[in-house]
Formats: sequence, C-alpha cells, structure tokens
Amino acid sequence: MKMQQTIRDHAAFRAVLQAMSRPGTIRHLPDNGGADPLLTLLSSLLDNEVAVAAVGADRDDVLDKIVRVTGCRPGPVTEADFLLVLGASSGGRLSELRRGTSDYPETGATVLYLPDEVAAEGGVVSLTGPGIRDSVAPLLSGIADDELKLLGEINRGFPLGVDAIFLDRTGKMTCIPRSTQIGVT
Amino acid sequence: MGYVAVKGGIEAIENACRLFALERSKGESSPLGVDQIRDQLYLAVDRIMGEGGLYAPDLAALAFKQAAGDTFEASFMLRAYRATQPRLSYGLPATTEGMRVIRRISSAFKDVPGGQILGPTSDYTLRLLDFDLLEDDAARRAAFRERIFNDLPDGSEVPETFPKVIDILRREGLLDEARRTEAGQAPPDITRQSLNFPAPRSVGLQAMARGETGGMLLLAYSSMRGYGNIHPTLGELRVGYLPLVVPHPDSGEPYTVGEVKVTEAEVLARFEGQDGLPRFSLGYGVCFGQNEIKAISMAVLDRCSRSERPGCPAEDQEFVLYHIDGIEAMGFCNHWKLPHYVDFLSDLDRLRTAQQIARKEGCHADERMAG
Amino acid sequence: MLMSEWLADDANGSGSGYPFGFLDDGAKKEIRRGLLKAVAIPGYQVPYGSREMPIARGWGTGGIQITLSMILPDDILKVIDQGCDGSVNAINIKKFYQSVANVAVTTDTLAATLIQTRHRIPEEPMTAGQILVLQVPYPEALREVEPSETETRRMHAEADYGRMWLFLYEDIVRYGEISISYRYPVTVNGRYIMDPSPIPRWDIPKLHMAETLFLFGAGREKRLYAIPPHTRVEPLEFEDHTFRVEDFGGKSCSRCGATDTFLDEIIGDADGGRKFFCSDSGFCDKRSAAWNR
Repeated sequence: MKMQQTIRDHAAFRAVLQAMSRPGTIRHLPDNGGADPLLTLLSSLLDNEVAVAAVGADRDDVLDKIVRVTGCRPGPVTEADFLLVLGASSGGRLSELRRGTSDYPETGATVLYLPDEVAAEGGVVSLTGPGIRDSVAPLLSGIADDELKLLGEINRGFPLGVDAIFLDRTGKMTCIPRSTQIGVT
Repeated sequence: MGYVAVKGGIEAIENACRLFALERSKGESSPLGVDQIRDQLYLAVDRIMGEGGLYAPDLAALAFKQAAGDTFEASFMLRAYRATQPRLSYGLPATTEGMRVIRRISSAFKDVPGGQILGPTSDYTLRLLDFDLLEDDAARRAAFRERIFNDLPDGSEVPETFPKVIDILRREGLLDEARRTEAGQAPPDITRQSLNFPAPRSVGLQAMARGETGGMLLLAYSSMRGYGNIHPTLGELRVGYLPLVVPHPDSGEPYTVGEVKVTEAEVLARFEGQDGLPRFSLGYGVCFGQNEIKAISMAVLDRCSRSERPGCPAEDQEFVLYHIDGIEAMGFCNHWKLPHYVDFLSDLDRLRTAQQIARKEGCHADERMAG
Repeated sequence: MLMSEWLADDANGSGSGYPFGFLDDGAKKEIRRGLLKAVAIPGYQVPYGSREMPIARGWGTGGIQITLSMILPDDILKVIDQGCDGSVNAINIKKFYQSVANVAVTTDTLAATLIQTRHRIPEEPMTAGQILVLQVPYPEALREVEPSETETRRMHAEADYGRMWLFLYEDIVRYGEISISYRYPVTVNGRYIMDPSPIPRWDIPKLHMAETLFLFGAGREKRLYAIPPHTRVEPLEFEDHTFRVEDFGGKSCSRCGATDTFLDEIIGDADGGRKFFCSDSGFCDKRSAAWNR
C-alpha cells in the first residue's frame, strides 16, 4: 500500500508541476480511488516540515483531516507555508501571508482555493506572463473577483508574492504563480 | 573500449565494476569480516560514521570493506544510505556532563577535579613498527588480554560522571557568555535546509560535525600556524558514550534508546570583551566516535568563525563551511573524469576565434608599422 | 513496467530493496515544494536540503533528485551526457533509475516523456508533454565575478548586475569578443541572471519561448531552478557585440551528414586529422537509419 501511495504522490505532483508551469491551463489529478482530490494533492507536498492554515467555513474540520493525512503542522496565517481558502474569498486574509524576502523570495506562501469548477476558458481573469503563450482566461467559478484582484495586487511585488492553486471537486486544477500578471475584467 | 562509447558502454561499465571487486578479492588472504573491521579498525569506522553523518558501526565497517579502505567512498556510501531512511524522531538535547567517559584530559590545568583520565590513545606510543603484530594470532591476543586484566588493581573506582573543566572557568566569570542568541530556538537542520549565510552557530557546528577530518585539520592548522591568530588552549577533551534519548512515541516521555560514542573538545582563546574586559571565548567541537583531531579542529574553527574581523581563510565562515564536506569535495573532484568534450569544443571555438581576431589585429599593427 | 501494474502490485518495494524512487517521502516533498517555487520565480535559485545519492556529487545528483521526486512507472526516460545516450555516466544513471523505478528507457528524444541531461539540450525540439531535467555543477552565474554567496545573493535580490556587465565588457576589450564558451549567462523573464548549466552556446536559443518545461538541479550546491515554457530567455549581449553560437565552418557529420547540429570534433589519427560527428547521438542514429533505408 505504501508504494502505491508513493506512486500516486508522484503522479499528483507531476500534474501540479505542469499546472504551475502553464498558468491558466487545466490539469487533472490522478484518480485516487474516489478519495478527496484535496488530499491527493496535499499528500504529495506536505509533511511535518510545513505549516498550514485555513480560513472560511469548516476550516477546523478540513485542517484536522489534512494534518491527519499529511502530518503537517497547523499554524497561523501569518506563518503559514500553505493557506487553504474555503469559500469564495479569504476576506482579505490573503494579504497577511508571507511573500518572501528579496534575498529568499521562495519563502512566500502558497494559497489553495477550492472553486466549484475550473475550466480552460470563460473566466473574468486575463493572465499573461511566463508559461503562457499569449494570454489565457480560465474559469474559476465560485471565486470572488475581488479575491483575484487582491492576488494580482500582491503579486505586483514580484519576485515577492504568493502562488495560487485552484482545485475543483473533480480533481481539475489550474495555477496562478506570482510571475503571472492578472487582469480582471 | 572507448571512454564515451556509443555502443557497448553498459558492458564496459559493468566490467569496470567487476574489476574493482576482483582487485579487492585478489591474493590468498582470507576475506575480511565486517566484525573484524568494526572491532580492529574502529578508528576508521568512527571516522566514517562521523563524516557519513550516520551512527551505524556495522554499516560503516561494511562500507569500509566495500570501498577497499577508502574513507571518502565509505563515508559517501553511508550518507547515501542515510538518504533513504525516514526520520522517525528527534533526539532530545544531551549534555556531556552525563557522558560515560573513557578518556578525558585538560591541557589548561595540571590536574582537574575527577583527574586526568588518559584512556585508550596512541598519543604516547613510540611510532615504531611493532613487528610482533605480524604474528597476531588468537593465542597471543588471549595472553595479552589476560595479562592486562590480571594486573588490574583492586577497588579502583572510576566515577560515573566528571565535572566539566569549562564550568570552573565559567563560574569565575572568565568566559564570554554574550553570544547565546539562539538559546531556546530549535536549531535549523542542515540535512533539510541548505546553508545560508551568515549561518547561525548551530548550523556551522552541524556542518563541521560531518566535515572531512583532513580538510578541517588543514584549515584549523592554517589558523594555529599563523594565518589567523587563534592560539587555542585545550580546556577539555573527552571521549565517551552519550545516552541517546528520544521522546516516547506514545507518551512523549524521555526514553533512552541507546548510546553513541563521541569525542568532544573545548578550546579557549582570549579576546577583548565588548565591555573592555578581556575574557576567554570558547570554541566547541563534537563528532561521532573517537576522532580527536577532528573534534579539536572543529573547536578551533568554531572559535575562528567568531573572529571580530575575519582576516584569513579559517575565519571566513562561508569559505570554511562550503569546503569541508568530504563527500561533496570528493564527488566534484572525481567528476572531472567525466567527459567534458562538448564544453571543451565550445572552448576551442572561442579560443580559435580569439586567436583569429588577435592575428588580424597583429597584421594590421604590422601594416601600420611598415607604412 | 506500466503504472497500472505497479499500482496493482502489493509489494512495498521497487525490487531493489530500496523504496520506489529511492528517496524517502520527506525528501521528495521538499524537492517538490522547491520546484513549484522555482517555476513560480523563473531563473531564481531555490535553496534546498540536497540528499546524498548513491552517485557522487558532481555526477548529476541534482538532476537525479528532481527526476526521482516525480518519476512515474509509465514514464519513458532518456538520459544523455554530452548529448550521448551511451556515455558512461548516462548509462550508470539509467541503470540506477531502472533499479529503483523500473522505467522504460529510450534514445529517441521524441519518444521520451522525461529527459535528464548533462551539458546538452537535444537537437529535436521538445514538446509540451515533455520535461527536460538539466544537471548543474555551478548554479551561480555570478560566481565568475564574485566568490561569496552572501554577496551574489544580494546582487540577485537587488538585480544589481553591473559587475557582470563590466566583466563582459572587459572580456571584449581583451579578446575582441565575449569569450565565454559554454555556461553562457542568460536573463530569464527580464529579471534574474541565470546559469543555463554547461550547455554550449548552440543550445541557448532552445531555452527561449520553448514549449517544454526546463528544470535545473545542482545537488552539491543545493539549488533548484526552472524555466517554464513560453518564457523569455535572453543571453547577455551588447548591441555591437551580439551573442553568437559555435561556428562549425560548414563542416558536416561524418556519419549522418548533418550540417545543422552541434558537432563533436574527434581527433581521428595521431597526425591530428579531424573528423566530425553529431553530439546528439540519438538524433544522429535516427538520421543515419533514414539514410541507409
């Protein structure tokens, strides 16, 4: 069983790596026997070295489950390596996340959203930057426009910033790293 | 067989590996047992465990056998093995007051509380080849052991623990205690995070604990000899066994799982305190096994890294920490044996172009001269 | 072995006595987190706690750790060293992967899903589905002008690259041209100066606005970095002294006849007579086969 989990982790990471490399495109997480895609993804990335925070409804329950499966440490938003946003918006908490330092920009956090659905087209955002040939407009249904605007503002400080992953219930995912310029129409 | 053969390369590599194994098993001698290496070549085993960063005497002995006596290779195998092992728990901090001491000396005082315990050492031997060892058979060894144990005086008590020499100086206010900024914080882990500079002292000590003995000796020696001004006094050197205590996985209570042999060195060097009062500052070294040269070198380099104004290689923290890892250094040194013909061709291209330009300019210069 | 077979297998190992992908899970996760940050900050070197591999430091351990953190049982792997699939180091690394992940290997660039390389980028353009993992000995492009890590980190943080440009300028004054042969420094996404690994200048243009993701691993120096696809990668150059790739003076490959590839120069006899062959052995094999058909 352990080896199967190891291989699923490899496959999940390959999906998120490609998604992060090509902002706005859609990648599928591997099927994990019907398991929650959120846990499939996080299992490939988190361990006891990582501090995770959550905001929104049911955050304690969801965080408990993540801690149990991955062994990560729960922590405050200001010190989190990963922030899980449950719902349409972080209510401004996104601004509290670490954005890294100019010496070590990689210490900026990663934020994870759970939109109702992600799709390659039809969204209100227009993304340009590394990994994108011209521009893309992925659909991130259920995520507030203001939240995306805030993400764009925070990442104007590139190379400081936060990197975002959007994962829907079916295991479809897209990413907006800090190198991406976000236009919201 | 070509060095970069397009075909047949696999066979050549496998044959090279086999030849190495064959070289090791040549001759009529009986094969070395891992237990023999562990018991009789224990200083090599200690060194390998220290540089490999894994306390595993049997595996270190196996690595030494497999590497045909190359300590770099053997430490490297141990490290590679370590990379596959999960981290089950974090050991609790240990103090060396509780060490089961087998050797303990101070060169700062003629006598110290608890006494100078010389223990097992080659320090005072005459370095004459002992030809008797050519006939080191079981009967001779048994007789030797018997002689030693029969001559033991009765009732000679060895204390369980020894007070630290440094503590005596500390109580008198002779030690610099200013730099304890990291107290109470969990130390960073160099096997999980790469070195960043300026590195906290705990990071420097971790890196040196796995450093290569010869490399550390070279740097420490340069400082002792004159490139730098650390003139160390050995406050205390001790060798012994430290209990390894981890929190119990269920109850979280401290739980002793075994003991590890370590060497610890504390050196003293004078410096001017910030309040203008001269004090001693302490350089600290500790490593797996009995490896006194390494522990002393480490203590000297630790002290060097806190020099007020770094003025020589041994005092440059980045220079020291980046270059003492034997496994990194040996790997990189060996990698020059790999083919570099693409790079070299690119180099040739630049060199030929530069020569062409230089010749052309040379011609123009000649023409101008002639004109 | 296929992924489905691996997943159906109840055993816990890879058959070699070591876990699938060799590294423990914690090490892989750390590398993965580092890689995501590397991709998000193109050209920036992410420090990580590089693990010791059973292959020596300087022999590709950075690339190996990247590959091991993501390799899949149904990957088709190509490993090259100096462009060559059959080189000693490439073979050794392939053997290691086969023993800890049991993947299929190929010499055909287009058939591979994952390619690990030392000092070359394949001649055939790679596609979006592929990943190229480059082994890196010196990740710091500025090391040439500044030995201290503390100082080069500051220079990157402040995008203070004046000394690098001065170095190039002085080079031109001395040699009449920029004399950097391989490891030619590039600017990524208009921000970070990056060491592209010791690839020849020939390969530098392949990094610019590519379809493929490039991942760089420096095991000994403990750094990860990346160039995502469709990212600007520009060699450092001056208007009057532009970047130029190696010039083979119209020579062609003695085997496949190619005139559009990076050529290895082989000393053919004791008198110093030269012959030329494609450095990319897989591509040369393919072309030679087509010729002979």
